Amino acid sequence: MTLPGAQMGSLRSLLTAAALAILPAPVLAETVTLRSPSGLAISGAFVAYDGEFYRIDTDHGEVTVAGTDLTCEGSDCPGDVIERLTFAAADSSVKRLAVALLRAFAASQDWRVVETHDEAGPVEIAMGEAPEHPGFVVSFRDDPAAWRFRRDPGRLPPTGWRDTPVAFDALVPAVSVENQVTGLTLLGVRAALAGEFPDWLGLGGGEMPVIVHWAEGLAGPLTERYGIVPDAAATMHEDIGDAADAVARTPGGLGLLPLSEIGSAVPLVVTGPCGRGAVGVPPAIRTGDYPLSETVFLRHPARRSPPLARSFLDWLDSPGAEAAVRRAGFVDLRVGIVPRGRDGRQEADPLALASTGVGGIETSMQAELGGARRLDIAIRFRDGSSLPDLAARVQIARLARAIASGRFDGDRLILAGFSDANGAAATNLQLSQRRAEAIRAAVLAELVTGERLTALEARGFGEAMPVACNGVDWGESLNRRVEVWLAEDGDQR
Amino acid sequence: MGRPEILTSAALAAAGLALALWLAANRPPPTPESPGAPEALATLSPLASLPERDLPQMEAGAAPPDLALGANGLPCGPSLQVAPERAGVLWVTVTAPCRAGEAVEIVHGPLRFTERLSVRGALRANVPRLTREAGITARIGETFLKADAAVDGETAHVSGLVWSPPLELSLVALEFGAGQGDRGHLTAGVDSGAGRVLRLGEPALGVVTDLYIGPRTEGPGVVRLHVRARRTEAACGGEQPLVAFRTGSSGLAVRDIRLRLGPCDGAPETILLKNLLEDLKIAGR
Repeated sequence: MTLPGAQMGSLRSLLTAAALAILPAPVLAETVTLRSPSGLAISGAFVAYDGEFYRIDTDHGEVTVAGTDLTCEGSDCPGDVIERLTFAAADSSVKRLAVALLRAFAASQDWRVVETHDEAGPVEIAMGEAPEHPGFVVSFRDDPAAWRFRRDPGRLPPTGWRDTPVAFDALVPAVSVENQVTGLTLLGVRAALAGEFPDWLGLGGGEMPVIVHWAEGLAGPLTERYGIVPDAAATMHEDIGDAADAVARTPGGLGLLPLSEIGSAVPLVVTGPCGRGAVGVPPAIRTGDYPLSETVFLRHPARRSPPLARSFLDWLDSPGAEAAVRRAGFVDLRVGIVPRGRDGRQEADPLALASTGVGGIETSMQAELGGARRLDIAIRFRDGSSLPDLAARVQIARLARAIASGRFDGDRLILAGFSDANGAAATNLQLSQRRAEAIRAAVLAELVTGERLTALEARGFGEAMPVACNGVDWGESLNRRVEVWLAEDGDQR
Repeated sequence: MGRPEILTSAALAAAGLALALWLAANRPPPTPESPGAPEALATLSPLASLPERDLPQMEAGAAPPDLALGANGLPCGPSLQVAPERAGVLWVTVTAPCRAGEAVEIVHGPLRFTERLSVRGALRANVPRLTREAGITARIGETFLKADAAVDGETAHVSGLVWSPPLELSLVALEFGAGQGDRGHLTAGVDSGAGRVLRLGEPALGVVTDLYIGPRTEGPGVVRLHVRARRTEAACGGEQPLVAFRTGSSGLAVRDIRLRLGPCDGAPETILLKNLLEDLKIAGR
């Protein structure tokens, strides 16, 4: 990492210039020799080196050779290779996450970091063993080749690109600490943000005006994803943090903010018309039981990346990355056990909520899940379907990775399928069973046989135990799900 | 001066002994200038931190005491004392009567600043403790002094910015959602919030550290830390180095930053950098 790159380069060009000045005949490209520890050697004209692979032009044509353990001899051998990468971020909050991840990645390698900032924020993060010799430089620039940090892309990436999930976040309606209101219906949130409520009286609060604060980068995506149209009279702020601060200090203030940027404002519970709902706390965001949960992805080329970029991608899967995600105010992807009574749901004991008339199911559910503990994973489905969508793939991958890590070796995991309340109960029971089985198959497909030390059982419970209100689309879509429970006979952890 | 003037502990101990004899012979001892309890004062040990018990042994073979006195009759021998002032804050005293008016640079981890010694050759400053081992160095010209004060207890939430001209920076804190001009909108010297913003150092002399010291009793909430920068002709166009640091649950984090202040296009103006320092999350009581 600390080869004298710049100096060597300029020295080399000086030497080349001197050679050109002295030699009257045209100069051929220098021959380099790549030598392995066992003495094998290959020679040719140097073409390129990406930090991992050499390309050289030999008598038999151009060849690519893995550079590990090879020594390069010849004046054209590369010196210090600086690997460069470009990042783009969808908004200031996601950019903050990207920077936090880069800093933590550098720390994990024991590298020094030099950040270059302009008036708007970080423009370049350079890291390496010594500040004057960075080995890895990431610039923030919006160009087509950039690796892109983005919130829920909604559809699959274009050919040649891959979306790697990095973190969860959520949009939360937030108010000032002085506001007595603790929750709103999603409809109420939408209407209040659109300016349909002049004061908080109509929303269960005190006699003070509703003052909506927005941030410039947020309004567009919110309208697109949730059909939320901001009140024309709302105060527009340049950045999300300013909007959060304005909400926090305005007694009647209201904003819809990413949880990662909520600052000193207070989040509200979001419910449906039946009163069932969730607050944006990590377990409810990981399971998606909270309705405005979202996933942050890193979109990067699907082809093999240069070595340091690839080690960054690998590192994203590490505990160090999870810690950096949490420090940045986001929710990490780690699989956890939902603490009883602190799952973010409105109801203290979800099992007490088996609310349908299908008595036998409730009994079997109590028997199966009564002593089990829920994992913060849930897979959701489109209406009537048992095919998982993009968000569901993230959840399936989380579960598969946790199983592959050996964490649940010897345990029994119950994949508990549920449906919404539309249609006949018997049909829903079958549908929920099919969903659980589909997810079981999808998880097993991601595991190699040797990793199957965890028993996976698929159970359907129909429309029992809804997490949100049936009767509204968003509530029904949250209820169509497969939850994951760790059976009581598993190890106590 | 060709070689750094390194003071040995022995010489200083001997000088201290000479001072005590001289004071006893002439007048009653003056009231100590430092409010710290004498036993809490850190041992003075220039460049090397020696255990206290080694001092008498060193004394035996010590060089003749330096009896040079400053304008006020106090011995020249520069000294540095560090004592815990209150939770998370150190009381730093530099005394160098023969170097009155000279610049002194204080360094504590990434925190560094340059100040001028008073007409009596003294500097007293409150410096937040950034690590448990509160090693502090003072430099007057080429004289280096070092002291340690290992203190228990938590360090405060501290976020700092270390810079020097041609940069012209200042720190702005907005506590718990405060807006411009509200209580909780803090700049150096404005004392109307839960925490405080303070400046250590004098830009004309060299390095400055601007600090925000967070509250212990308020929260939860977020303190936004913004940096006001003057785009002067000397600083625009290029990249200026600075250091940012903060204390936190995972220890002291230090960041090397290069700041681009945009092109030089006329009159100097002040810009607000909102993303240079990280916000401080205060968990509350």
